[in-house]
Amino acid sequence: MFITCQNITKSFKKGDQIITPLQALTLDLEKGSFTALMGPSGSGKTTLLNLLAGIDSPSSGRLEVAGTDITRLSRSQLGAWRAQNIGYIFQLYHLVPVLTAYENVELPLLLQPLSAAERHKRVCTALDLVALSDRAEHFPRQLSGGQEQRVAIARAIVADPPLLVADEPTGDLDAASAKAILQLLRQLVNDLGKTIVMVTHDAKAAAVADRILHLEKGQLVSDI
Amino acid sequence: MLPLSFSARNLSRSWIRTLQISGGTCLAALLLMAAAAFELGMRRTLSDQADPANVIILGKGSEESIQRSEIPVRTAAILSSSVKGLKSSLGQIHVSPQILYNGYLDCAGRKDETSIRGVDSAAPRVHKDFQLLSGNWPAPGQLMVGRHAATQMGLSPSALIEGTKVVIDNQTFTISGTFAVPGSLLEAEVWMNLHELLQLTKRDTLSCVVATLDGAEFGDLEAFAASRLDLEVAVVREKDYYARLSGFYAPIRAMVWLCSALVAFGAIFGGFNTLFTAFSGRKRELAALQAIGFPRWQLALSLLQESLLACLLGAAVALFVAIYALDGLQASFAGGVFTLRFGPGVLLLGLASSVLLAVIGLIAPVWVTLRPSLVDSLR
Repeated sequence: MFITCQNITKSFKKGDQIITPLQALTLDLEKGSFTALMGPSGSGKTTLLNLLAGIDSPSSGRLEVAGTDITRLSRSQLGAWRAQNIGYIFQLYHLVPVLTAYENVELPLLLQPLSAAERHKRVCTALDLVALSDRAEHFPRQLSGGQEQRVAIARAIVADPPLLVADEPTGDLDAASAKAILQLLRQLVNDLGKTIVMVTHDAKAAAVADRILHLEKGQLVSDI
Repeated sequence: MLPLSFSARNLSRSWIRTLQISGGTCLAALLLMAAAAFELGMRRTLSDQADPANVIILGKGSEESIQRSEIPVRTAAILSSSVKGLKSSLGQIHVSPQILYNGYLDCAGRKDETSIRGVDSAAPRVHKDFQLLSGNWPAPGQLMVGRHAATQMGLSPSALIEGTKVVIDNQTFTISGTFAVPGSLLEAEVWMNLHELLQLTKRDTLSCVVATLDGAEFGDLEAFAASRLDLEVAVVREKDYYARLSGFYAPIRAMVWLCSALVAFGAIFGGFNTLFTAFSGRKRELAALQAIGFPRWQLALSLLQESLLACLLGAAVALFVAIYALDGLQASFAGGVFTLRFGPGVLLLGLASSVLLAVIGLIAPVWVTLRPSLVDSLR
């Protein structure tokens, strides 16, 4: 399995209360699959996504992603691991406003031992894939929301990570842009063999995925 | 690693903020440099005044003030004949009788207090850096002015040029020339003939006698003072006298530092506050970069570069102003005039303080933006 979650629980203290957004969750995801995580607010879907992306660590349980037990990694080791294995797509894109689309896409490659020529080649390929080669020199403020998200996707895939995690990637877009983004994600799974885990509230968006997991109160309630 | 150009471009996010940070640093660095230049200028002027070989003979009990001192006029002649080993050149012994008198000088209807020194032709021998810049040594009815005398009196230098008539105690004198004693307080004085000043001030005593030692020891002059009880004199090394005088002005220097520090603190605090606002507003963006895989130290380094660029921009302006606008300015105080010198040490202080501000100002924003968990920062 590409992703194995065994009995993972995430809890934290808030004031006097102990909050448990994820409780004893066990889950396997195959390589090259497209999974949608759905559920009401507070159901634990974003927590699960963050755990899979190595942004957060479970309180207990075992979590193996791409052959690495990431629960054993320190914060700095997790950072290096993310640079190699994870492409993160945020709802609000989180592009750096003072960098052009090209430079934003290049960012993850600055962490790799690559020559400038190799970086250039990879950035151009990624921008081609999201059909934004002609906007390479544009700054984020000069792009539409859909275009910004496509730049964010190019940034997520440019280092060729096996796992892409997307936190409501269409949540801030109009219907047409959302549809284009979902098609692009689907294409990344079909053509490049990426594994995608996507959090969404939108049933139409989830329908693009191969598998839809419903979470409620930190537990898996359905697996379609 | 994030490239330096990333940090440089971040300065353009808000030019107002960048200007606030740079401006705050500029002001703080400039004030620190000005205070240091003031301190060094005043100290150096007072210490340069002193010749290690010179000894001042003044009235017993008046060792701390030449102005208050009174000694018999015959002291200079007795000293010259009694003590062997005083410096001499061309048959002239380096012993200079002097009167130091604080009087009012009336120039073109404006009356200003100034230090008037009554001297004879021996004065240039004991004040060895003396230079006559223009005109002549004063004849009767004349006086000469130090090149900073006008500044000391709050006049323009052109007000005290050769040929100008001035009035002291209802007696008119003509300026015969201008002199310099580089780096010395004497340059803020007015010099005139000793005997004329004796008459003018209706006194029959000198303020002091300045002598230059050659083969003689300081102890020889102490012995002279002890043996000539009739003269009622004390001897003090010139460097000790001016060191004490420098100590007298220490509270003024402390006040300058304090005032500079207070204003600089306001500027620094404003800069820090702006830096904090600028960086903490990018908490999510920095968290996103961490999520991509950038380690915290690389992001902190990038913020440091940005902070350094902004602060060094301010430092560059401060150094420019210091070198081209403030260096060489003259500041006057009760004892004379000194020059603000922004030498390498002072400039380095300005630069170092700017770097320090860039680093210290970064601690709080880095703590707030990079220390929390990624999940919290991304939320």
